[in-house]
Amino acid sequence: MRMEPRIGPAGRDDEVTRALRALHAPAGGEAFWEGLERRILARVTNTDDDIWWRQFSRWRRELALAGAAAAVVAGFAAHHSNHVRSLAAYREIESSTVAPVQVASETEREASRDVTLRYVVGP
Amino acid sequence: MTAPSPEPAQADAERALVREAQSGSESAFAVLVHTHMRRAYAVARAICATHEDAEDAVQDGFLHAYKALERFRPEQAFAAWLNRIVANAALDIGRRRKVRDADTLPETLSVPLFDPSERSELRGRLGLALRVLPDRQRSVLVLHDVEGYTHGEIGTMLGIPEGTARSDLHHARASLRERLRDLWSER
Repeated sequence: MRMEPRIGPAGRDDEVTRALRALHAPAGGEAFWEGLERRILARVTNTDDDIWWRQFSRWRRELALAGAAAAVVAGFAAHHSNHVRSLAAYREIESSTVAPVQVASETEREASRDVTLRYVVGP
Repeated sequence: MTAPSPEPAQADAERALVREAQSGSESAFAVLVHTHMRRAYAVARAICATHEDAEDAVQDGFLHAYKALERFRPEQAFAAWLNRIVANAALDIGRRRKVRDADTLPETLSVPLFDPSERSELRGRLGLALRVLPDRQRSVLVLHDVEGYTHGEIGTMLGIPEGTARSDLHHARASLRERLRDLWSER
């Protein structure tokens, strides 16, 4: 790799880099980093309540459980409602004196007989 | 030298942490802060003129990152993503400061902040020479020569083409070399 000459003459670049690094290093050593970390986390925590999706994430498990429970209840209600409807239909059939199916088939049979009779006795 | 990239096992652990943080774990985000804070500060310090602005930029950057965490794709490198956000926060602070200084304190532009801790001659002279560099050239120089980022990475962080970063570095070095020439000839 070609080394482009930097700022100082040959062999002085490390010295320059060290000086640049020292110029840009924060004062206070570890105490500075601990303080900075605390300040960052404090700002993040303070803003946490404003982030709606973070709230959503926090309640995601509860929301999923509630959704599943609602689905089970809705399914049971639908099943129960079908059962009640079907039971009512059976009771109606049982309490009826003439079975609707029989009535319908007899009506059809009679109509067919009439047609045959009209054909035989007709002109 | 380029910015350190985590080993595969570390990268997996970091991805897991990011996923935890994305699902709302504050403790996972705290670990990410602890891991990346120093590097983020170095990026901000390279861009900001003062230590105080750099500190604000790091805090702003982490806050932006936290809010945007949902949009982070785990296959990306978290450090690169975070450093771009921090660099952007630092540039933003620099822009705001320029507007404020132009409105109220024009003299601050020509009065360098002298750090009394600059005891060594080289450091003192370098500090003064850096202050007269254009902001972007100074940032590119520090990010490259001190922090070890490549021209491409610097271009991405500062939102400039790689060629511009290369050219800025060349001009910054030439300018410093010229200003420190007598220092070297004295030795």
